[in-house]
Order: sequence, then structure tokens, then C-alpha cells
Amino acid sequence: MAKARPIGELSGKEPMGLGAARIVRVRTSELADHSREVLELGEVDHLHDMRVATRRLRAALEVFEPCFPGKAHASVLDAVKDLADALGERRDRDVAIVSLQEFSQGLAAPDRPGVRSLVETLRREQIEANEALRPYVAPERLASLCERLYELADEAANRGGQAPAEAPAPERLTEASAENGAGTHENGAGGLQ
Amino acid sequence: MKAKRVKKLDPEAPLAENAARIVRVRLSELRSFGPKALDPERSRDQHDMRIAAKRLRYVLEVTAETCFGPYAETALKRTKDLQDLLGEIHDRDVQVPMLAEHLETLRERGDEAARRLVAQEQRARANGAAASEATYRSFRRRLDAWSRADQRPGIEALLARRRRERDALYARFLGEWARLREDGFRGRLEGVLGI
Repeated sequence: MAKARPIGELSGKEPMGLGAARIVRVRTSELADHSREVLELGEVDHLHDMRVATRRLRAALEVFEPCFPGKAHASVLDAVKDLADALGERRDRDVAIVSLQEFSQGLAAPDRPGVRSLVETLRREQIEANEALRPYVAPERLASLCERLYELADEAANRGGQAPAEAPAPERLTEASAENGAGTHENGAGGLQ
Repeated sequence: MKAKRVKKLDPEAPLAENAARIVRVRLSELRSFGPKALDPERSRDQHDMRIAAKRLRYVLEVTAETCFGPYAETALKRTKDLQDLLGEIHDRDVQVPMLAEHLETLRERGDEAARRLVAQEQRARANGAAASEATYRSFRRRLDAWSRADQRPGIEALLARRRRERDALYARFLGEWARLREDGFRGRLEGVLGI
């Protein structure tokens, strides 16, 4: 599992709005970074990392709700939850398949057909979940979500008493995504910035 | 389970002050499930306790290191462990009935297949087929093939394993909850909040 990126300069003494803005910006960049190769069924760790990044982002949005404008916050949070649900559906199958395969290895041969049949069912569901996930991780859609998240972060910074930071250029997400096929830019501490 | 609203949060007030208010409410929510979730039959309350632990974990994840003393980071780890444990229990609570239902479907399907096999044999006899050694061997082959393809033994073993795991996880949960109480988890965490 990918370690959470530290939030530079975060301080308990600064206004919550500023802290919320810092956290949401970093978590947004993590989300974009981990969207790479997430649809690869043979490399389930990519999806797991993106799911964890989505969970961290969602947590920040929920914890710091009062720092954001209500309507925009609700809409972005819904989009993040939808993404998290789509990732979760795939992840559940990834985990169940591995667990059943391990279990099956410990069974006598005559006892294996039932578990094998369950694995086959799960593989079909895994493919369906992957297809359902595809639109959520499309580069344009992710870029748009990231842009809205950065706007929310700016609003939070405003409410915390600071002028909006220069927003990272979400266009770069789309450009780089086109290069790597699955949807993100190069890794880096600053994410999209 | 809907999260309790945290009052008096102010984006312009210090992060630590706001975070302390949130932690206090989330901690109280977690504790409120204590008595109910300890009943092994109340899986719904265990699930709700997991959600409460998740919410406490989330706020500690983003504020423990920056806003509070070292115990907040210990509390974060303990909360995460509790949430993971309750999550494992919940997984079994979802899987066990699903597997039991699947097994029932297989049983019905198996019974139907056996009935068909016997009916085929009865029809053959009615049409004058002699009960020879060859017909017995043919019946036996079909019966063995059906038996080899039977999915039930594996599912029964899996179901039994998941039930055992659930019991073991629940016992661990009781131990973890008792340890949290013994260690003064609530008092120590409230102590580092500073309000």
C-alpha cells in the first residue's frame, strides 16, 4: 500500500481552512498519481493504491466539510464517493479471488470444483467491475475532478484567511495520461503542480 | 450510520482546536457502541462500530501528528487495528450467508441431478433393459462423474472455515476492546486534545 505523502508546513496553529486546503491539494495529487494502469487486471496493486488514495481524499473532504462551500463540496464528495465505490467493486473481487485461490490450494482435489467455480464467477464479476470502473478513471474525467478539487481547496484557503494558491494545471493530467494510457502524470511530490 | 454533526467548527480558528472538537465527538460515537457491539449476535452494531472507528481514524490520520501529542498517533494505530478487525468480521458476516445460500442452491441442483439419473435408469428398465453387470457399470460411471463434478464439498469446507474465522476474529475483538479499556484509551486520547 502506498504511504500517504506528508503534508508540508501543516501546523495545528494555522486556521483550519488553510490546513484543509493543504491536505486536499496533496491528496488530490496522490489520487491523480495513482490512477496509472489501474485497469490492469494482472497488477492489482495499482488499483489498491488508487483506492487508498481515494479513501484518504474522501476522509479529508468529510473531516473538513465546514471549510468548503456546501453545494460544491457535496457535488465533489459525491463524485469521489462514486469513484471509490467503483474502485471498491473491483478491489473486492481482486481480494476474494486471491483468498479463494489460496484456500483451494489447501483442499484435496475432489473438494476443489466448488471453489474453482466460485473463482470463475468472481473473475467474470471482476471484468464487469473493471468495465464499470473504466469511465471513472478516464483521463478527462479525472482531470475535471482534480480541477474541481483544487478549486475547493482554494475556497478552503480563502475561508481560512489566505488568498487562493496558484492552482495546478489540470491540463497536464490529460496530456500525460494520453502518453501512459491509463490516466496520470509522472509521479512527483507536487503531483499535478 | 449518519455521523453526528460537530458543533462550533470554524475555518478561521486553529486547526488543532477544531480537530480536538471533531475527535471528541467521534470518540464518543465509537464508545457509544461499546455495550451493544460486544454481543456476538449483534453484527449490525459491530458494523456501525466499524464505521465509527473509521471516522475517528480519518480525523486522527490528518491531525494526530500535527495537532496532538504522541499518544494521538498511538490512538490512531489502535483505532485502525480495531477498524480492520471489525472489517474482517463484517466480511465474514457477508460471506457466510452468501455461501450458505450458494450451498443450498447446489444441494437442490444435486438432488435434481440424482433424481434424473435414477429416472433414466428406471425408464431403461421399464423399456426392457436387463439389469446386467454392464448396465450397472454404466450407471456407476455416470454416478462417479456426477460426484467428481460435485461442488458442494469445497463450498462446505469454505463455509466452515469462514465460520471458524468469524468466531476467532470476534474473540480477538473482545480482547482488543478490553485492552483499550484497560489502557485508558479514551482518557488518554481526551487528555492530549487540550480542550
